Order: sequence, then structure tokens, then C-alpha cells
Amino acid sequence: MTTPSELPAGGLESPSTWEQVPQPPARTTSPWRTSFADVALLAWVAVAGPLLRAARLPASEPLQVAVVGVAAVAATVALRRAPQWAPIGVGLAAGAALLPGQGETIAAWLGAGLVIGAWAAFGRAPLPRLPDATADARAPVAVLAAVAAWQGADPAATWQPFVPLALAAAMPALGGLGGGALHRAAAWLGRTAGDVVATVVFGVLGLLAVLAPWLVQRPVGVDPLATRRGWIPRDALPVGPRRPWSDDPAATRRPFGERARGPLAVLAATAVVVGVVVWQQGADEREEQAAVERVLSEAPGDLESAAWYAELREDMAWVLDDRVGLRPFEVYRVLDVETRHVNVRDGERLSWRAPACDCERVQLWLYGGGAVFGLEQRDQHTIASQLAKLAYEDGLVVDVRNRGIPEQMHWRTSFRFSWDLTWEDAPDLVAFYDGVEEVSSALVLSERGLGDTRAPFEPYSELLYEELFDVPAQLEPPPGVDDIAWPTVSDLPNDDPGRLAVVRYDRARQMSRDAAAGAEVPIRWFWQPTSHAHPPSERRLEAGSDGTDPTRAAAFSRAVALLDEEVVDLTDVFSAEEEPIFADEAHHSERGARLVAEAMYRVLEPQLRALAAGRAP
Amino acid sequence: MRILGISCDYHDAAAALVVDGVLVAAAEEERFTRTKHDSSLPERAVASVLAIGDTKADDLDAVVLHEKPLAVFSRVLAARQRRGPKALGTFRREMPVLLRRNLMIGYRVESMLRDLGARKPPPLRYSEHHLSHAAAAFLPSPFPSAAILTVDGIGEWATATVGLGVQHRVDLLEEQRYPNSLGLLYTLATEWCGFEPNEGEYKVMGLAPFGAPTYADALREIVTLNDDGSVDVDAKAVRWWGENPRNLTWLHDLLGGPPREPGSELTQRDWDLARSIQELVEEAVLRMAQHAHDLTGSRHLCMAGGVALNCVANGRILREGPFDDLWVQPAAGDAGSAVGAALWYWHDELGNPREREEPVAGQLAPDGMAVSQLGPSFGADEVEAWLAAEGVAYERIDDVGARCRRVAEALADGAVVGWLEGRMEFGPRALGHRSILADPRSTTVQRDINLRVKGRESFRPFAPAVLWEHATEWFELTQPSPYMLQTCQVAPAKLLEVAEEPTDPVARVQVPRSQIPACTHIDGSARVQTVHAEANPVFHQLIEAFHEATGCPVLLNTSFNRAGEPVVCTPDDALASARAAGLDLLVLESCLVPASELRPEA
Repeated sequence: MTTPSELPAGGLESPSTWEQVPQPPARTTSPWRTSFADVALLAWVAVAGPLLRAARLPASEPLQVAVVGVAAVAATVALRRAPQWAPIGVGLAAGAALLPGQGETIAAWLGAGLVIGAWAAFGRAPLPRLPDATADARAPVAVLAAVAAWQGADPAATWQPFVPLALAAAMPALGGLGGGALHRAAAWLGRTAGDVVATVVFGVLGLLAVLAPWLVQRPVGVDPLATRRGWIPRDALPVGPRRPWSDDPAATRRPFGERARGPLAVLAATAVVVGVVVWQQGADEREEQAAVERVLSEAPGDLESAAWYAELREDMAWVLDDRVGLRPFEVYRVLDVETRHVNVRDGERLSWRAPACDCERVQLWLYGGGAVFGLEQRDQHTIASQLAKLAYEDGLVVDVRNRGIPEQMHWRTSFRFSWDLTWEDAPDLVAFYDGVEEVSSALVLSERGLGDTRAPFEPYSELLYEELFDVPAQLEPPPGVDDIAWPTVSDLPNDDPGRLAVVRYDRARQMSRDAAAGAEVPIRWFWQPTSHAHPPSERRLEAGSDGTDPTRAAAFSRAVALLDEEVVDLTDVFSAEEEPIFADEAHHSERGARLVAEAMYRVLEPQLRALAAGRAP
Repeated sequence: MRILGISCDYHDAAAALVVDGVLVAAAEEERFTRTKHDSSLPERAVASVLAIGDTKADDLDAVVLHEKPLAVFSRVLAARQRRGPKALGTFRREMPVLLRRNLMIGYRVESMLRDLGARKPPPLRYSEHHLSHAAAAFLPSPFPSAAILTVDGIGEWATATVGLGVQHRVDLLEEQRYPNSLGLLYTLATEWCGFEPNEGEYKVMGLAPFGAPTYADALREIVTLNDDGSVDVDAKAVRWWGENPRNLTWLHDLLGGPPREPGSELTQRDWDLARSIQELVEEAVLRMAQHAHDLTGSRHLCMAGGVALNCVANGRILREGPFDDLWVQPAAGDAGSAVGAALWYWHDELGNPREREEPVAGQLAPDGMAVSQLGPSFGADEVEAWLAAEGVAYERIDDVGARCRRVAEALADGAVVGWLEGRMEFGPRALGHRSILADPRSTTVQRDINLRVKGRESFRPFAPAVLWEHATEWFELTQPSPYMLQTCQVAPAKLLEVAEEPTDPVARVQVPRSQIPACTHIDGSARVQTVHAEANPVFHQLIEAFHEATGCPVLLNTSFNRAGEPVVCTPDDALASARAAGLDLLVLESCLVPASELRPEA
């Protein structure tokens, strides 16, 4: 290098060489030197979708996906000049890392995204006979990755995100066809989509950054460009933030301690906030874990030291998440889902099914709420499964279809029964097992001072809604609502919730009765037991919970006393049991399910046997 | 210590290299990319100045940007907020650009340096737009102390500043802030006259003598010129800066109709508007200079900023202003702020003193700009090898005296000569290193060069390059003008009687007004370059040879380019441009390329 004193000070003496007119510099060959856009495209295609899906799935861990995804992107960037198959290798490794914890969809998505993203971002095909991608492929690949992310964000989606990903993979491969027309079309689509997105994003940003200040400033006469007239002394200018935006042109480096003070303060504040959030989340998780451990430690006899129980709770929490399977205000069924212990197919919880036989198979549809669905039981141990097993042990083949839906009242399950009859052949027998939700609803009505009402107003559903969607209990009434006359309560007062429950239950049973009669299906109703009838054994239920509330206990007792005789009362089905049965007021263990099934079977056995023999009961 | 200065992202991107306080190299990006006023990150200019300075990217100790990008961002945002809902469309279009360009400037510069081979680029420092201009004006100047005046369209918020330079310190004392901008007003008039903004301002300056100031009152309705030179732009008029002024019908009424369509015929309105705005700017700059003098008490003035390229106003400051001497940064526009940023960091931030050679009596006082010879150059052997490889016929004459005599003879015979010699100039003016030269005594050459050679408007005047020894004989000059940045009148002894002044402006251009009609504007003025033997020896010898051959120590000197092109940089640029222009002779260092290689018909 020339020493400074040897250099020309401009002017006459100068080294004369064409090298002084350089061509645009070639990009350096370091594997880490790539453009921000390349890496952003790769990360977008490979990581954004899986990360979004993981954030949406209750049982997934977005942090793990993020860590593996970032590592995989970094590895892909580093290996972009390695042999062609390198992205495939990285994709397989990343997918394998995620497979145990995140499932096959996220694992496959990340793996495929890395291959496709590297292909589009860096141009080079992942396999020898595939064409290299041109720049035209980038935009459509980015757009299709966005479509995949949108589709895959639905927890119920499994294969759906792979359709746009497959199209994205085709984009680089289709490059040679049609004289580049496909690429041009796709690039146009990508640009158009990009323009639309940019218009929306910057439109919203404009509303916030331009319109909102304008709306605030204009009425009070503030002009953001207002400035003093004439020459303004520099000392009088407002002191702005320091480099690189300050009016103060200080450019020397301040001491490290001084420079570090600001970032350290931000880091400390961030750490405090993150710590509080993490601690709070940890507290919630610890509380949840403690509850599970409490259940396990004081579980009903058949749950004691059951290793599967924790898994069942995880599976059930997943299935009952309103983003996954339970959508009580959208459909009268639990959406199809697959887990280790809880599986729903075609809207029915899977039940034990007798082996195929050359025999008469009796079809029994079983309806109810969470107790029928089997919140505390594995698929093969629900009431429906136990009923089928009992029948089989007794020489009958009964296909019991579990059509329970958690948190449902009788009139709601009657709706489902009616609907099922419209598109399926009628069964040989239908049975309803419920009652807890009827009393709970009546208690809510009673608490609100409403009593019975003909109005289309269902307080228990409202409570459910609040619970599911976390809305305030007291909603602000819409304008004009005061002008609407509130329906008067005339049939029943609100001071006898037990009676209120039975009256409304009987009216709802008329719906199921009519539906069954229309289809010429025999129907049976069972009133479910509760923890109130089993108090000595249910010591693990917390004092003050629904399961131990004396007011509720009285309401249940009153309701049972008023039940019509055609309703089979199973209230005392656990009276001989000394071990705990209930997890809460209504939902019982697998042993409880067995006992309930036995009681039901004792009632149904003649009818089932008659049906199996092809004779009317 | 090696400092790289960079200016970019508005217009005229450039790079400058300062080594231990000495400006070693500077170049505009447009010269390499061949895109006029190229505003992109000056990657090739940086590579060039590093090559000239024998500096690797990793050897740099500091990189300094000419402005504070976030302050620009905040000003744009404030302007949009003022317009409210009507600015949403503009906001949508410009925000992605601003985010990607201004706010990522650190990343872009670092990437550029890595592409140039740096493994650990130095951190980017940020000067301030007008501080860069001020530093570019004062620090290379020959004055130990001086008042500083910077005027341009807009920087971050400032549109003009007054400052004081003392030794190595640059202090800005006062400023005018957006939207009160003299430069933007001039740009508006430029657009109204049908020229491209940020490109055609000097055409307006050349157009002004043809008109009368009939729009002075109209202009004063939208801008108030105060006694101290500051301007107050009417609030209604501020809308210009936020949208296309062509859409403002009230402006049409005020300025006598819509803007002239580019390429259409010039009308009396355009001449009058040009004269009106030019007079307003001259008056404003004069008052600003007086204010700067009142504020600082200095005898010297340094100027920079786009408005400082208005050499007519500069001439008036020198003649009518309170200062003894004036020094204008030759690259007064945004390109020069790359120089300013680097020098500011070295002197003002790091506190290093300025060092100047002692002036020699009778010679040009040394400054820090090396007569703008800051770009790349090409050796005679290299040029010859290249010409041979290209199959271009040439004649090599190594003896400078013989070569100059040969070219002077051709010029005296009426040839239009392309001249590439030495280091490329930094700044908009060709000062005898990338020039088209001709005999100024010709009555036809002005029209011929404008229309045929350069393909531009016929009214455009040309500049005379005169030997400093004879300058006062030919021009009413009191100071050297090595950078062609002031106008003065042709000496009365050299003027001719005009028997009858035509009314048609085009015809007025053709009327010989002096012994050098090709370089005399219709008002008898000329934008003079004084050529000094100690600073520009080869070019000085050429004019001397022409003087010996003709008795005239003046050459017509215009930039070596055609309309819409940047000034040529390399011999191949020069050959291509010479062929397109149909020159009679091309001089590439020691090699003379005859007309037969440039014009097939010859």
C-alpha cells in the first residue's frame, strides 16, 4: 500500500491505470455473503408457515420450531455452494429434529420449505436434472408460501399447506416452458400480490402515520412544517436524538460504558418484562400441573398411578380447544381429530367395536354431554365402549355410537339427533344420558331471576360463550334495546331451580321423543349421577366447587324427585363405591363409566336382546 | 488516516477519499454508470477513488455519509402529515423506497464495502447535509477563515445556512428551514420553463438574459424576500413541495399558463419567467451574503449548495457584495458534499489542522480541490494499446508542445476538438481534461456545437477558457476563476458594436457581440475559466499555442458529452461520444484520432 505521503493530492500526479475505472465489483464468495432478500425469502418459505402453525396449536412449542428453523436456514445459507443435495439433507435433518415434538405436518413443512426456499432464493436446483430457478420464481414462491401459511395455520389442516408448497416447488421447474410465459405470469401474479399487500400495509401505516396526526393537528391548527420565519439561530433548534438523525453532528465514538448504557437499560427493561411474563406463564403452568398432580394423587381408584392419565389430559385439552375440535356455536358435533387417547371420526368419538361377525348387529346411538363423550376416559373406556363390551360379553353385538358433545343440554343434543336422522338410516335404539347441564342451566336462570322463559334466551349457552371466548359477563346493550319489551316470565318462578330444570328437560325430551317417533326408533332417557350423591368418597373435590356446592346439591335432589318415571334415574349408581369416581361435579372416571354402563345395560338388555333377535320389544 | 466520504440517494451520488487530511480522489457515480445524475449508492465511484488512493476497503478508518437519513425521513413524514389524506397515495409510493433506501443506508454501505473486499468495514458516521456543504465550501478553500453560505433545495430540514469557518472549525450559525427554500423555488421555475428539475437549472440561468422580469410581482406573491436574504414561502405555495405543481391551476394563472412541454418551442413567457426567477435569486443571494458578512464580519466568503452553481449570482456577489474574495466549491451540488463529509470528519470532528502550501506571488493560491483534477486518468501507453486493439487509426505525439501546436492549428482551422487529458474533473464543469474545444472567434460554432455536436438548445452559451496572463485584457475580471463559477462582462475593448438588435431571441444569439462571439452571451457576459500554468500546464500550453497561432488567448470550452449524457470518463466513452457528435479531432492523451475515424463521411 502506498504511504499517504506518496499519494497524489489530487491534481497533476496520479497513477494512470484503467483500474481506476472499475467495473461493478463481483460479489464476494464467502458462503455467508448473500443478500438480505435471499435469506428473507428462504426464511419466509421455510420457517414462517411452520412457526405460525406451531403458535396456533396448543400442544406445539413455537420456540423449538423457531430455533430449529433458524439453525436450518443458517445451515442452508452456509451450504448454498455445497453439492446440490445439501438443502435436502438440511431439510431432512431439520424435519427429523422436529418430528417427535411437533408432529409430521410441521416437520415435513420445514423440510420441504428449506428445499423449495433454497431453490428459489439461490437459484440452484436441489437435484441434478432439475432446472435452476430464475429470479422470476421468487415472487410467486413467496406468495404461495404465504398461502400455505394461511392454510396451515388452521390446526385442523394436515395436508392442505402442501398443495401450495407443491405449486411453489413447480415454479422453478416450470421455468423453461412457454418461453418463460409461465414465469412472467407467475411473476406478475407475485408482483400484483406484492403490490396489493404493500398497498394494504402502507395504507394502514399511512392511516396511522399520516392521517391520524393530521386529524389531531388540523383542528387545533398545528402545522407539522411550521417553522420560524427568516434565519433561525442553530442554538435555538430543538435538540433531536443523536446519530444518525440528530441535528447534533457528533460522530466520535463515546466511551463504551456510555454507549452501552442505553442498550443495557433497554435490555434490563426487556428482561424484567420477559421475566414477569415467563414467571406468570410458569405460575399458570405450575398451577395447571399441580391440579393434574392433585387429580392424579387423589384420583379415583382406577386412575391411581395411571401413566396414561396425563396423556389423556393433554389429548383432551387439545381436542376441546375451540381452535381444534370443539366449536359448540358452529356445529353440533366435535370436529374430527386424532390423538393418542381421544379420536373423533365423522363427528363421533371412537368406541370399542365388537369384532366382525355373521350376526345381527344392533345399532345404538348414545347422546349426551361431556360424560357421554368421556372427558375422563380413553376411547375404549367410555360409557359407549363399556356398553358395547358388556353387551358382547353377554352375547350381544351392539354397535354403540358415541355422539356425546361436551357442554350440551338435552335440547341441543336433540337437534343433533334430529339432524343425524335426516342423513343416516335410523338406528335400532337411541339413548340419552344427561341431566347435569339441565340443572346447571336452571340454576343460572334462577340466579338471574328469570325463571322459565319463552324468549330465545339461553343463559347457559351465554355462560359457555363467555367461558370459551373470554368475553365480559355484562355486555353493553346495543342502542335501542331498551325499547324492546323484555319477555315476561309466567310459567314458573325462579325460586325452584330443580323444578325449573325438570320442566325444561321434559319439554326438550318432547323434541327427542318426536324425532324418534318420526323415525320409529325406540328411545330411552337416563338421568346421570353427580358428585353430590357420592359425597363421602369425593373428598378430592375442592370445597366450594360446583361439585360440593350445597345449593346445587339441593337443586339436583329436587330435580331427581320430580323426574318423570320414563326417565331412568342413575343418581345412585355409585352408592356402593368407596373410591372417588368424579373428576368434577359430573365427569367420572373410567371405572365410573363402567358402572354407568352396567346400570344402563341392565335396563337396556331386554330391549337389545329383542332387537338382536329381530323382534320388536 | 483514510476517510471515505459518500453522498447518494438524492442526485449526483459521489465518493471522495481523504488521506491524512488531503483530498486524494473524488468522483461522481454517473461518470461510471453513464446515467446522468445517478443517485444510487456510488459503488463504482468508491471503487475508483480507492484504486486511485491505493487503498483497500479494509484500510479505511472511517466512512462518512453526507446527511442524517432519519432526519430526512422525519421531514418527509411531517410533510405528508401536513397534506393529510391527500398525501396517502404519495406516502404509499415513497415509503417503501425511503425505508429501503434511507433507513438501511448503514447496511447498504457495509454491503458495498464487503463487496469491495472489506472484511471488517468501519462504522458509518453521519454528517449533516448542510454541514457537509459548508465543510466542502470552507475546508478546501484557500482562506484561513471565512463566512460560509450554503443554499440548495433542501437537506434534512435546512434549506440554507450561514456559518463561520476558522482554521479547521466549521460552525453553522443560522439556518432557514423547509419549506422556506430558495432552491426549490428555482427548481419550480425550471420545471415551469419545461426543463428537467435538478438538471435544467443552468439552462434557466442561460435563458434569463433573453427575457424581462415581468413575473417578478407574481413570484413575490408566493415568496417574500426579507432584507437579510431569507425567504418566506406562502403557506399555500408550500403545497408545491408535496405534490406535482403542474396540477395547481392557481399557479397556472399566476405564472402565465401551464408549464412548457419539454421539447416544445420556447416562448416569451419562458424567457420572462427565467429572468424573473434569476433576478429574485440574485437579489436573495446578495442579501444573504450581506447577512453573512454582518453576522461574521469576515472578509472572505465560501459558498456551496446547488444554488452556488449560479455563476451569475456569484459574479454579482464578487462585484457588488461586501466580501473581498469569494471561493465557491467547484462541485457545489450534492456530489461535493461527499468531499465535505470526509473533510468535516477529519478536521472538525477529529480536530486536525488544515495545512496549505504558501501561495507564490503571481500564482493561483493553492486550495484543497486541486483544480478539480480528482478523478481517474489514463496513461499514454495504455490509451495507445487500447486504440490499437480497437483498430482505431491514430497518431501519437508525445511532445506536449508539438501536440498542442498541432491541435491549436486544427482549432484555428475551425475544427471542433474532443480533448481527454489527465485526471477527470470532479464536479459539473469540464476544466480542460474532458472538454470539447473550439475557436471562440467563429460566428457559427456556437450554433453548430449546440445543435449538431451536443444536440441541445441553440440559446445555450459556451464558456471561454482564457490564459490567466491575458484574462484582464479580455474580461472584466479582478480575481482568478479557475473553476468557471462566476460570470463577468467581456472587456469593452473586445466588444463589437451591434448595429441592430433583432427582436427574435434565436436571431439575437447569432449576432456577434465581441471578438469571441461563441463565448459571449447576449448580455455581453461570459462564464470565464482562467487557466493557470502551475495548475493546468498542458491545457495552458494548448491555449498558448492557439494564442500564438491566432493572437487569441481564449478557447471555447464545453463539457465533453452530448445532451442527456454525463461527461465522458474513459477513452472509450470519449471515442463513442466523439463519433456520436461528429467531432473533427479527438485527443486522447498523446494520441490524436483523426476525423476519418470519427465521421465516416470525412
